[in-house]
Amino acid sequence: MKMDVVISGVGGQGNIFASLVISQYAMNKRLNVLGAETIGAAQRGGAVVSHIRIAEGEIYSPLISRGQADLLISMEYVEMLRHIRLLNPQGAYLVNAMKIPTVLNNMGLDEYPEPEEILKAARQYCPNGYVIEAAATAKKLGNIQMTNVVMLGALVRIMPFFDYDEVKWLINANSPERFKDANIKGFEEGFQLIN
Amino acid sequence: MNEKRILLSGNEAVARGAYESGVKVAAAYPGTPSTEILENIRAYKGIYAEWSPNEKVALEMGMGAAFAGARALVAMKHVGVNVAADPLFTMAYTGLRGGLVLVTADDPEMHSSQNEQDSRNYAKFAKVPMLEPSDSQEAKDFTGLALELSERFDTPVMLRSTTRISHSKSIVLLKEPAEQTAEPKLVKDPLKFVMLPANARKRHPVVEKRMEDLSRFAETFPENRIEWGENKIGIITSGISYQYAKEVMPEASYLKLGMVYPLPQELIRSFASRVEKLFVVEDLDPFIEEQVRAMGIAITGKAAFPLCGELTPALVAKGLKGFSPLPVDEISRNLPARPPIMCPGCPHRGIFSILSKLKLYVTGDIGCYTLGFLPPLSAIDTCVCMGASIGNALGLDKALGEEALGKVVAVIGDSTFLHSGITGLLDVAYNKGAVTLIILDNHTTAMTGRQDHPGTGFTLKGEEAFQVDLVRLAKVLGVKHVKVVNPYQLAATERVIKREVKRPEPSVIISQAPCVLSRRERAVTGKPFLVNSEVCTGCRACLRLGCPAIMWVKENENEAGGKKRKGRALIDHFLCNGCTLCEQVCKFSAIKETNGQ
Repeated sequence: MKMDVVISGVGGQGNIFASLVISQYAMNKRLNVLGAETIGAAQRGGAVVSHIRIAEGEIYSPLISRGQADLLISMEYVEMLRHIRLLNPQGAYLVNAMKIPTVLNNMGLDEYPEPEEILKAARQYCPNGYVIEAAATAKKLGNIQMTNVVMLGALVRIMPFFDYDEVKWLINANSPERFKDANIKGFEEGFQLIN
Repeated sequence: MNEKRILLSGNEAVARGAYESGVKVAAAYPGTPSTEILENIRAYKGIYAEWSPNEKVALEMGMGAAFAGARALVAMKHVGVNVAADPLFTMAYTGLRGGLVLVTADDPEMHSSQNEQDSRNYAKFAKVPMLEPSDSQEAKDFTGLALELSERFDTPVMLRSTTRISHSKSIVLLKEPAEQTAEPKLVKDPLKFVMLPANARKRHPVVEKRMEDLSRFAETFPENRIEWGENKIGIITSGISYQYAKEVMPEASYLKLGMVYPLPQELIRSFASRVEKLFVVEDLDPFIEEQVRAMGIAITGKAAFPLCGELTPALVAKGLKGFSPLPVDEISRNLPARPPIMCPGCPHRGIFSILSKLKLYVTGDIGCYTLGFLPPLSAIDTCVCMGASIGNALGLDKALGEEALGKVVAVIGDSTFLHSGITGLLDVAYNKGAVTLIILDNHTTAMTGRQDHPGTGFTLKGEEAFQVDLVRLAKVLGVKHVKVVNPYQLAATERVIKREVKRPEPSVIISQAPCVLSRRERAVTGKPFLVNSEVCTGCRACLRLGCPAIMWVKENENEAGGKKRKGRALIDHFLCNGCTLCEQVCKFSAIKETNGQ
């Protein structure tokens, strides 16, 4: 088996936590794991992307190549489409229903495409996509920072590779004490978002 | 089984390697992609770890520790080696007593650098051996091996990483630290350590002899290994390139080099003679390729792989197979770019909005403030290396004289000033430059993730330390006119900048306000501001600040409610840090503070 995962978003959206949970899950299954992170742009609103490669056999490159990813998890529309070509069209993408304009969009110097257009382009490339109200759910639960755990809940629902209880346990183990309960709640709600 | 198996980045693995192999002293100046090495070493007991003011000092202090017989690690990014090159070259002559490893993290593709120089050339130039790991396990193991080789051959050893090794994660088996290494002590050995010409002339042949010994050693060094596959294609490679090649052509035969300098010539000859076609896959320069070619062996390298930028599995596939099963362009749609930007509430924004308004020629430096180059501020005209802003401004002044007066200003961050700016300012004062320097003092090394430095009052270990006073420092260097400004007060700051740039004498303006991400201090309230949509005229003055919290909302005639505007400004409640700059630039008093709700 192999599972190549790309997580994309904007600095501060919790990519790193999500990639940590996924990597540890694979480590606990005694699988091979490689990961690559973009660091540096994260704190300044730049685009961030993590690659996580999981396999039973030998894997070498920490970078995922075009058409290779089984799963693309995106915290935002544009950052989903930016990386969609890393996805195998037979794979699946999971996108948080949220647009985060760039500073140039804000200034009116370029345009943030309509989410509907973005989703249309994504669907043309890969039919198997899930648009999740993760940020809205996190906000409803009291903290938009929980978007990432809501996304992890939805991920477990669509990818049988991930075991519900084990991922929940890992979220709990990796959360700071004061966020443990809220993060678990976010994960559970995320799981319910997909029927 | 005491072995623990965890996922580590290359940088975390180097830090662990230092701990496991008994390093006593570690030093660095932060620089992407090397920064996390020292940030991780600081947590290990028994290692003295410091942020040094710059890489040269870091290497010199590591060298002193090794003179005492302690094991030392010094880390830096590739351009840091330029700064540390002076001690490096002579250290190859003196040798050491304890082991010393110099870790250089190269940045092919320039993810966060001003050039993509290939540090392997330094190994050859300075005549020191260099190891290059291919994953985190090797990053850890090679750190220990480098220290062993350093002691065995009495030489500093370089360990070369790249961004993809430093910032990629793979599984590492941890070990407990080795038995205590030899206790450091003071031993005089002036013939070896005093590089007067008479002594150095005796040491140079030692260096040449050592390189011969190392070349012989390289032939049987277990980390230079052949992995036999099909004999049609043989690939010589190292570092991350090895992983990419294995990924796309696992069936080929490999000569994987753990030591990239000096090269094992006999091993290469024997490998080359047993394969039909020979490739070398290496990031950046044709470093291995040229040496193999000089041995009279036909090899394909840069003819098939790019010289500029970093390799990827797709580029390696294209080079090896002549076509790529994985097309190289990964983003075909024209999506809006999302470059890093100054944070909402960043203290640099006020200064750059003024420099932009005054249309000054700004000699820039290395740090977050280099982002002042980007639109809409567009207020940086040069950026070369750490400290260059000051020398560049002095050169402009001496070449242009009166012509440049009032038109040029140099900007540098506090950490960069202490790294390499002090001597530049000394030159300005000594040689009577009509130069104005703005020190953007945000009390941290912000760009690399807020590390401490001699101006912050804290050490890497978090202990309190003497805090250098930049005003007094500028004065003792010989600058008479030193002004401190608050960059959140635009009008007052603009007056000072206008007056100082016209001064035909050296002057320094210190813009003092903590980084908005600082964990220790705050200069802004954090209470968001609000645009009154009734009052906003849509003039865009606030948008020219380039603040990510301020948005433009387009309006048609109906939406504008009879107002003559094409849109209006809107402040993102969550992003705004309440820095007041937009309130100050709004001529219509449309922007007001909220009560934080």
